[in-house]
Amino acid sequence: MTFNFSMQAIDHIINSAAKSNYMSAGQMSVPIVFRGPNGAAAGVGAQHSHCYASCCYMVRHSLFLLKYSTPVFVFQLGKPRLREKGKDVTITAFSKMVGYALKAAEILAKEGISAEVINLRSIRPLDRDTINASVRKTNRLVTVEEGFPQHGVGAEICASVVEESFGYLDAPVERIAGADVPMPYAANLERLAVPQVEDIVRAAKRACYRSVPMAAAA
Amino acid sequence: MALSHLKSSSSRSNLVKPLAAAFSLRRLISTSTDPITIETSVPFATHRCDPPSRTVETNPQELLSFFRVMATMRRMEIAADSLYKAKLIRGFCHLYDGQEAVAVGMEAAITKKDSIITAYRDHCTFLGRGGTLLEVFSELMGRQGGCSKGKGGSMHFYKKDSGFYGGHGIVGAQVPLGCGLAFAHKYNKDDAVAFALYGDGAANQGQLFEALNISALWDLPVILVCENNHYGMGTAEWRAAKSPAYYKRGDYVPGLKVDGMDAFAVKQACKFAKEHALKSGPIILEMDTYRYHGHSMSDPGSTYRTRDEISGVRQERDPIERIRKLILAHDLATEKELKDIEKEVRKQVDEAIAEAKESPMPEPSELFTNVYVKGLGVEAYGADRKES
Repeated sequence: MTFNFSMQAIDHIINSAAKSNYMSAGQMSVPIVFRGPNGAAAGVGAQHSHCYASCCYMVRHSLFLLKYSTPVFVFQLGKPRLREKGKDVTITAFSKMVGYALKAAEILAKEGISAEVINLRSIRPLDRDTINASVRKTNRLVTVEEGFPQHGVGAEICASVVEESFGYLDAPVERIAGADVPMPYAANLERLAVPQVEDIVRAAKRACYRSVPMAAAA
Repeated sequence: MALSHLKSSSSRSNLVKPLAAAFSLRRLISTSTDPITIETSVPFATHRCDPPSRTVETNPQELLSFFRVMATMRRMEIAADSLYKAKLIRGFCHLYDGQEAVAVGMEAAITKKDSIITAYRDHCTFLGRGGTLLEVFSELMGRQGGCSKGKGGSMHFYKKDSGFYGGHGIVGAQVPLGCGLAFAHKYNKDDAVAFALYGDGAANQGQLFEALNISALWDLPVILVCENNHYGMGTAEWRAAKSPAYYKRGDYVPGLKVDGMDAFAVKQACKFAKEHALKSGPIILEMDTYRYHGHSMSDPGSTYRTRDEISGVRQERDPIERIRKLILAHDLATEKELKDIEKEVRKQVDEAIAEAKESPMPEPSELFTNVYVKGLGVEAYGADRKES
């Protein structure tokens, strides 16, 4: 069904599949594609909405594509796709969030902010070169993902950029991620638990020092 | 059809009846607790144990209560179907209509000190444990009045104060948890048992056998109940299991196969199982039951079985009809009175739905509650960490 059920097989996915090529010095290559829906759907609750993108531990190659993807398209493993060229801020995203990032880019363009949107596609290997090259051009970064923020994809990207392109950053890296809670069922809470387009717009503006000051504490 | 042996008190009523008719006395629906004995529809099939008696003791009060509760469950599930189609219920919705006898029979044999844990087809089990219609519909619509305050949804109903531990979405995961509940009962020496319910689809899960092994080694008071409705989503049992005799699958653990459409057979089996579990450890009950709806609201339920099969079961084995016939045969109520009960039930369900619709959505601050126990003081963030 969805990747939520893959946790029942996680030992085999990691220990029997992912590590075998290494442990056997190439004898056991385990050419398997694990394919399934990931992340939140509408109203399916806590046990069916988990995003597993950041859980690719030892899994060497993991891709997170659009949920209801167009028919088979050919692309190169490890290569992200530049969806929108820009010069003011880089926005990285994958899967459903790419659509949201593109909408956010449209809104930002109206306000004079030119956003560059990168569809990561491949989480592991992560193309750090492309991301860093983009940040060196725009000097600002917003990472977007559906999963939990702690130890997430955005955290890794941020670390990579700080390691490789620290001098080029003109603003702190902004992270937009799912709320740090199990997915609630109620429609209004569910909406608050996943990133929305306005969250991405707000973070991009903050990175460009264009937003209003933070809301006063109550 | 079940045979009934009326005792002496009822033979008196045979004399009273014509008199009453003659005087047009208004006979009240019987709520007496005078015993009535009923024989179960089908004999029990056994594995490594002796069967309980086919003769079940009941009384008019219980018979009528079975009728009312099952009618409520049936009406509730059908109402949930309409609410789902009206998009007031979102996500997943797995309906239990057809299987009501299992929930009702089980409750009649146990107390609220015993624990029940089940999978996602949990609305009626929750109701049986003392949940209200309002809590059910509020939860289904994601409102504050729901049993999980709107945060759980259809698959995550809980009622800890009456020993109902959910409500689980991952197939088979609730069985090891149920064995754990039994471990707690044994540890606490509270003379209670745990019922871990699962379906024929989950019956092939490895974790079930692992949990069963340790439960048997430690003599835990757990009763594994396989609600065999013969289809795991769309897969028929003969395609999924090499041995669909689920009551035998425990190997060294005794098992009983029960007609799950007969509430009294279920009651007898659960009573028997509880006594067994307290004395000698785990036992498996296979309830031979049937669901009229598909697996969930996204499944029409007719692509893998024929409509004739569904209507056949509805005609021959419907659990509510069985109780209705018993009530009429024992002259405990008239047809009209039973129809009136059904009308009353329908009204209660409609009222609960109306009230649930008025219940507000959860407060946004509820997004962050219950992440840690006793609010550890750790902050939790929404999608944008810097936007509070």
